[in-house]
Amino acid sequence: MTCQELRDDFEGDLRVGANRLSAVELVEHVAACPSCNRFVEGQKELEEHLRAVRDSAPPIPDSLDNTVVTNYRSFVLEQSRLAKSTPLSCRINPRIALGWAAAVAFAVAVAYGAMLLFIPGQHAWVDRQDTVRQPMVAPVQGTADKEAARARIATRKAPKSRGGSAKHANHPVLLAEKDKSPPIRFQSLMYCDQISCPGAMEVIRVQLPSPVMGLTPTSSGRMGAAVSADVLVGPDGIARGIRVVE
Amino acid sequence: MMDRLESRSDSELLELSLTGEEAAFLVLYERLKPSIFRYAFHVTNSKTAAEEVTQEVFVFLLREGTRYKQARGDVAAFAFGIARNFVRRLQKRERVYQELPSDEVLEKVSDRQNERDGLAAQLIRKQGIERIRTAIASLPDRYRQVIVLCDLCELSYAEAACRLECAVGTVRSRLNRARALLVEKLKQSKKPQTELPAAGPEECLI
Repeated sequence: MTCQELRDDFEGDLRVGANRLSAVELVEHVAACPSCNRFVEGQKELEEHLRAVRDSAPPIPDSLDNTVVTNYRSFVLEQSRLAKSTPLSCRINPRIALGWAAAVAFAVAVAYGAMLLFIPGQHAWVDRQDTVRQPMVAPVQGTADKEAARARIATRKAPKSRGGSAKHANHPVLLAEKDKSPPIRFQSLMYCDQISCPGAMEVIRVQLPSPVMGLTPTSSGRMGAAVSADVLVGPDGIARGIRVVE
Repeated sequence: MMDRLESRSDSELLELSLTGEEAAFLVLYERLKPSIFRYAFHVTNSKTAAEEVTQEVFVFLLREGTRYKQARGDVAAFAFGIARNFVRRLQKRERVYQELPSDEVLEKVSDRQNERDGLAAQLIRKQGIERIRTAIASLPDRYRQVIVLCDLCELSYAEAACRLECAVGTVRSRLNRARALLVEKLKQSKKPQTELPAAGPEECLI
């Protein structure tokens, strides 16, 4: 046995090392090596002292047990009292409440989306709302241009059949006939002939307040009622004629 | 009832204790009490302080028991961490005050009188214990902790490493170093004190 092996042996549990002193190899080495002899003596002495200190620990007093148990009982009492007195709103964890609120909001949004998609009655209602919401005044120049351009695009995309779809028929913007024949019962607003109005004209249905049309309250039924009219708009966006519908 | 609880793990007992089951708390207290009290006593060298620390540990365990996570270690390690913090706080607080002669010092004085009555062996033993306690108390904290845990509280290296949140190898090396330091300190304390310089005749009043 070498000195290092002996010291390594004592590196573990001190009590184990002390017990191994009976090993023949160890005893022989300690007898031969004064340095290791001093080391082993020191360790033995230390172990004895540590044991003495370990044994000198006082017993745990009963008063400590009583105090701890009393503390526990008061803790339990306090908890039960808190649970009774705290209102429900205080006991709810804010994070959990927030999570539930988000989940409910999401569920409502999903339900509303599904209602819009799958209930046909709701579609009809939405369409009717769109149809009723027509401009109350005559479109200005820029708006008329936009409407004309949109109508032209619609004309290109429209099916070749004469009847068209029901959706197109309900649309407030009506397309004028391609032929140059003058529309019926239109009151001229501006001079229009082959030179000044070379392209196809468009008919836009608008709603106007009755005083604008020069109608008396008695003739229109009630004060401030709207009047529907078809406006004949040229390719330059200028209104050429008007026809009161109702 | 108690037998059923005895087979439960510490974490289960803690959970039951927090729900108000007193029997579970008593079983847990009996399991943890000796190690916490011994640790606190050996680190502070004071029975009163050890009692105070043990009591505070259990109060804290009840109030903050919900913070315990089983994945981070056992309940004993959690309780030991609390005890360690309380001991540190206590030592910091006590440092402010001037040290008064403790019961042990007074005991030593009375023991000196008992020596005349033939209790020399007991006195020598007590002096030896006092000497080693002083030596342990004078060690740096990291060495003192491993000596107390491994040699005085008789924990294994793995348990001590778990309590101190370090590697087993670190515990082993610190323990070797701590023992070597203790042996040195004990040797020094055994050496006869240097003689006082002889007083001149003018100093002698008798």
